[in-house]
Amino acid sequence: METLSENTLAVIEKYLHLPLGIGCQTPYFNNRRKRVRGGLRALVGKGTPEEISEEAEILSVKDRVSIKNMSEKTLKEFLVDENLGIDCSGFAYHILDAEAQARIGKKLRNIVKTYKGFERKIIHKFRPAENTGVSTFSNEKNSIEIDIENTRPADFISIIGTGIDRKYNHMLIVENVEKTATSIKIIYIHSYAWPEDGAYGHGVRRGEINLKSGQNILDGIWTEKEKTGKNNFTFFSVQNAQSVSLRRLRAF
Amino acid sequence: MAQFSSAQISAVSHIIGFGLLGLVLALIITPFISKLLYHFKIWRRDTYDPTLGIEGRKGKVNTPIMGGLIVVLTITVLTFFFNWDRQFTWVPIGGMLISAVLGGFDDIFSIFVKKRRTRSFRQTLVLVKVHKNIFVRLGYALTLPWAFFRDAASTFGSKRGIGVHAYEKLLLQLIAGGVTAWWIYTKLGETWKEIHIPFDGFLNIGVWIIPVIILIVIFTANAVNISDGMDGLAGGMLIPTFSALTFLSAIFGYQELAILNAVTTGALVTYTFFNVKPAKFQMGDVGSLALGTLLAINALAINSMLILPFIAFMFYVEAISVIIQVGGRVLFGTRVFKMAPLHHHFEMLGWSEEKTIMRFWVIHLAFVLIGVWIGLH
Repeated sequence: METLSENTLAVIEKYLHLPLGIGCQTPYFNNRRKRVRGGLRALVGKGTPEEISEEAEILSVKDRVSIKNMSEKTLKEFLVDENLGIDCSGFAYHILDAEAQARIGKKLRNIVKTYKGFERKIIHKFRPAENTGVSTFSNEKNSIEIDIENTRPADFISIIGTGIDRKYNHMLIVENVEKTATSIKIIYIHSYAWPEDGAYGHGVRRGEINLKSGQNILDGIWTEKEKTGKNNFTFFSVQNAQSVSLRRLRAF
Repeated sequence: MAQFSSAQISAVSHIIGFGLLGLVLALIITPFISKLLYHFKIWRRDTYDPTLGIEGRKGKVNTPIMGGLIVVLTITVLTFFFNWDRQFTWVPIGGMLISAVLGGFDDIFSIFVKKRRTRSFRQTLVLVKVHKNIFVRLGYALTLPWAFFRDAASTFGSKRGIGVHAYEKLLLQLIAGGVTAWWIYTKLGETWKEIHIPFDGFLNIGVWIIPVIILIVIFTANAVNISDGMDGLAGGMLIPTFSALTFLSAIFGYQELAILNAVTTGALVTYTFFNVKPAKFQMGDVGSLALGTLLAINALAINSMLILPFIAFMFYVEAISVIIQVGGRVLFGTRVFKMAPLHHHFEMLGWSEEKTIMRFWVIHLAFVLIGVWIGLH
């Protein structure tokens, strides 16, 4: 069984169990609605677990509440109410950044480039996590499409044009791959919000795709939160996307 | 060893006497000011001050502010009756009072006036695009630079919409700075048009000295304002600063300014006595902005611009910590300090308020002494 580096797994573990009070799953937060500009990256869904935790502690001081006394559920609700969390590409950025440093000794900002113009390139230099979205990761100059048979940890599944009006992009990071002669099991991790999650049930979580050899990714059995098929909103998003591809960063 | 002449001793005695007079007058008016503040409930509200959530600061809720009135009134009264000199004290007092009025309004508005909203640059831009009347759209377009200035100024504000807006403060401070620059450049004489470089000589930068003076007045006023965040912090640091200015003014032969600085020092001693933890009242913007402006003007008036970073060291450090924090947030999206200004960072790290204040006092005193030594060259 292939797996990600220890450092990367440690980062994933921190997102799954924030180093804050009793700990909780990092919620999903997308800056689309709030449209915060020039703010801390922990407040726009692009922070590291440490930044999110630090910001939560500071906000708890301002709000005069004690994080130490909060249960896991209350803590998660506090984070959501304070707009603290991580979005899909922010999560992917920090995971792939840890993996890039472990594998090739370079930071992700130096290997993933933006192709949106001079102004964006300058902004990308200062705020790489906030300016590396799914489309940037999926750009041919940053990543290549690969076959399922060649899947490795740190590959990612790019989902372009899903959701209402097909304007939404998403990505899943391949965490583990188990291959046999006749089957492939891909364990992925991402930050997502299903409609049924409600206000507080979303966040970073794992899922798995079970495929037989030769099958297309859409033909596999997608399981997440013990749900499959149409009940699995991630699979539903994949099915309704304009394009879905399994990709690997060129630097990997 | 050279002995001081009786005239010199008399002058020093005169200056110290005014310092003591300032101390005594401040002591006399303190009960009246204090009663006034408690009577009208002019105290800090926890609705707009998030730092009151920090452990050790929770007891500051309902501590009166605007205690700086004691110092401002003492300085004004004594200067008006005993030291009212057109050449040297009108403008410092004028500048101080402009800033005091600004700070006073900020304190009062923070407590009694509802949050005031202004149209942001982005909102103005939308109106330029969508308003049905073309002339109204044109009007909004013309106000875009003003809206941009308001938004840019608010980046450094800490109480968005509460009290006097950041851009309003900046404008009034520009006036105070402008008056100071006009006074120094046109009224004091040719010597003041050149910047004294310690150990070297003088540097003439022509009319560029005007914006430099304005910038120094604004920066110093806000630096002292930013530093006024703990019991006794700003007051305790202003005492050695104004003492240094008293000494340098006397040495350079500016008797009127020496007296003004001595009175300020005396009043600050009284104020700080009541301001150390647990504070009976806090300075408020009325005092911190006023004293910051006075500090800058008095230093500029004795041509000691370049030693200001030393005699106002910790104030400048606090102000720069805010700039760094804002810069880190906007440019990199990260916090450099746990909280700005710097004294809150140490509080968040677990330092007690007393430890933070004492350390800041000591470091500041050391740099004031360095500044005085440099200033004598």
